[in-house]
Amino acid sequence: MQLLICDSSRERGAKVAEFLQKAKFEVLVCTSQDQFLEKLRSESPALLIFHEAMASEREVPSGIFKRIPSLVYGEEIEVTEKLNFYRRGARRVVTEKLGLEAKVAAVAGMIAFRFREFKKLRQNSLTFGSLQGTILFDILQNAYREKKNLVLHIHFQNWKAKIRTFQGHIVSAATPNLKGIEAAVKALVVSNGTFLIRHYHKIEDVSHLGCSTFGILNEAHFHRQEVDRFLDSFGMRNPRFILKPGLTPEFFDHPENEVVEAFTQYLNFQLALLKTPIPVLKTIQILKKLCENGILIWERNSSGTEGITPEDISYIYDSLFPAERKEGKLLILGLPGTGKKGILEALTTLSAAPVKKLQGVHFAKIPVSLDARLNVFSIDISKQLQTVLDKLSDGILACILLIDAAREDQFDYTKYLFQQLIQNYGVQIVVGVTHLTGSSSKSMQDIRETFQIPPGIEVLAVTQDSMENIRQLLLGFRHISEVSTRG
Amino acid sequence: MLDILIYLLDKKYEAEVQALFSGETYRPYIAYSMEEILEICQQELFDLALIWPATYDETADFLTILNIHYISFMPVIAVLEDASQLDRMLTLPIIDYMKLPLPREEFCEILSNAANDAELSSSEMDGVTWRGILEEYGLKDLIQMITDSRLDAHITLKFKDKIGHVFFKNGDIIRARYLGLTGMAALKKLAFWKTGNFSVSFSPLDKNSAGEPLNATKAFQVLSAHLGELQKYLHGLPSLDDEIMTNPMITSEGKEPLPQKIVDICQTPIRIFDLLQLLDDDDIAIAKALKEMFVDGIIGSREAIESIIAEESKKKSWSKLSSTFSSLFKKKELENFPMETVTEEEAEEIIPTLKIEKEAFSPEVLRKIETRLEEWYR
Repeated sequence: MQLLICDSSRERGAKVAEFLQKAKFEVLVCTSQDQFLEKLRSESPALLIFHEAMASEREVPSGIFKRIPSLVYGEEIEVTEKLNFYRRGARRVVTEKLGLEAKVAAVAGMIAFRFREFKKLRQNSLTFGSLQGTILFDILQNAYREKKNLVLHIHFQNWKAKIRTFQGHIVSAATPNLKGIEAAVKALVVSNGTFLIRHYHKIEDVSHLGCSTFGILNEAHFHRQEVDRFLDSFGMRNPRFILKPGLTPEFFDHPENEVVEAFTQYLNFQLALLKTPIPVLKTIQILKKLCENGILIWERNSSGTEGITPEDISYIYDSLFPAERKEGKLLILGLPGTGKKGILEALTTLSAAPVKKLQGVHFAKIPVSLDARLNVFSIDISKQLQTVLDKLSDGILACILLIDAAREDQFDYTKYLFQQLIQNYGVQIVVGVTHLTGSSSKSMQDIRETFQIPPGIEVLAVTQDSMENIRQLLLGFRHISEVSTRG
Repeated sequence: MLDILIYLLDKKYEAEVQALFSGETYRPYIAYSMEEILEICQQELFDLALIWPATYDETADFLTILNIHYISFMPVIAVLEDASQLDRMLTLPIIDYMKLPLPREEFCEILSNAANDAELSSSEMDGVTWRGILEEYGLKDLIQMITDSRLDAHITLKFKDKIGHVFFKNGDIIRARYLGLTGMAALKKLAFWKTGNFSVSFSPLDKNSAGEPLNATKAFQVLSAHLGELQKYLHGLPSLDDEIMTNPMITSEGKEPLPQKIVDICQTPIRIFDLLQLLDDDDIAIAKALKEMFVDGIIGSREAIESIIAEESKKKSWSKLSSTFSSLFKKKELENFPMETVTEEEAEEIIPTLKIEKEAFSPEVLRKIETRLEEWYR
């Protein structure tokens, strides 16, 4: 495990390194910002150890603390400064007047243990997975059949729900704001995130729910359908809303204010749905009413759509780049006229990176962080595609596949291509469907079925050159912490 | 919402702890003794455990107990009253520590960072959809769930260095393999695994993966019947985790191939479960052969065989030994492993009971309903 120490005092840094080397860690030391940035480019440290003097926002590029586990130390650090380091993403702040170096090395060892041995231990001792399709329903049905006692934790970003079954019956459920049936239903509506399971032993339990397990599963299924129906009306899984100009959430009474606040605050629709402290169906009903009355405006309908923002680039970086990667490829594949080049150009607007053309392939090199670069390729679906893909196959991080709904004659080849991408490359894929209305009689569900697109892959209807659609496609790449590599 | 277990060693902190964990962010459970800890840990899944106030010795004991009871996956944070304990404390497998007094905001940051870092996220899935331990989900459970999902899937089962694979197309099994076995024979072997790990990945199978689909429901029934039958044959043998070995005093020539293989493998002590996994013969045939060899004294428990060897080695005459050994051994075996220890009539079955709280309107709700109805009638 490689650790990188950043301390302007050569002597102090060397002392910390000495302690860590004794504990069998591979240690690098740098004494200036330039050296630090150079090391960051050339090495892949698992833990960064900063002296506070070198950990200021000026010295450390934004987001580094969140991307690589970091520890900050100093002889004396004010509480407000400590909290500032924590908010920037530092895992631990250590202060000590005497014996600082030894203490830092010991705490670094503890953090390394947390990420290495302890994680491994948990992986080998618990049952866990990523939520895809109806896996929670299947788990609960199996629990019912086999009369299992389970504790289930469901996580989505910082949101958590808990369900308990006894002899296969759901006996309790809780989310941060709800309890009982409403909490169970909300937990079952989650379609992304992770779950953790543990079996337990007990002779007797009391159910606090007045509903059978199958009743809850049916209720959740109905709520899921209602959410899908609502989202279908926007033709996307992640519509964003803005509040009518001149209004603020405080203007509304409970529970409308909660809905307005959540859906204007969170970029992710599912997260907003979970964060509202009210049941799913009620949330959707309120949301519908607010949209119908023009209080919440679907962002695509709002005037003045903005271009790609630094936040979008940062999202792409967080979503696609594993911690150690500094370079990777994004492929945009589609038939001519599906808007590939529009996406490529939109991605280059911030950095003003030039778009080049080589052997029929457009490409651009886009900086996505201080030390990482995304190479974006826009490639026509043609008979030569396989040859091009073979050449580019190293380092592909993700792919946007654009399907022209009006070109049914190309469906077979596009489907073949899609399945090849899933099987051979195991990368994140987002599917955009163009020309869905007008010359096409296909619906989104038809497309999903025709191309056998698994539930975990986002399929969005897109209008060529719509900035908002491009953003939705990019947001379709899930955050790296939620992603399981498909393939 | 973090589920936190607090092992409170000094009640003077009780009010402080309760105040600190009030609100919706935390769901605390305070335990005052190790007995309480063990009881609640058997039934709960905590995000974090805090030992408060922590000393080196008590924390070390706490961690040891968790380890003994297979709960060492619970992340432990030591809350220190005496800072001089810290250096030693950091030699223990804790995931963090806190020194009192500490500002509340910093306390919360440390807690939240530790919980987030300990959480298992999808990025640790190594490309699979879910993974876990076979003690909780066996192959039968996994088949049932994948059948329900009607998806393409690939299950990998691992036990030590052994790996088995099962492939599904639209929820039906199309291929299974373990050692040199394929199809139902491999499934039967894998379905018996009670320990080890599994992983499931849902992804469309390529065209080359096509095979004759085996109806998963039918496979499930065959496996259930097979496991029931196997249990009957294993009844009366030592537990699957017990080691057995070949009796070196009995010559083993001219045996059928399977008993001969068993004799050869058991030259060194081996667990019954490991023996079943090592051989690619049918488990029922192995169990049957094993049982006969136990009765004949050819195989015995490691403990019994070693004690007999030790006893016999004291005697000088080998010829005398060999003539008496077989009968001695048989006698020991019968003593060590009675075929029935408890009759069904004697055994008291404890049936888990679920009580359901009766749903009732609160007086307040009833009043509201009454008022509404009155308004409506008017």
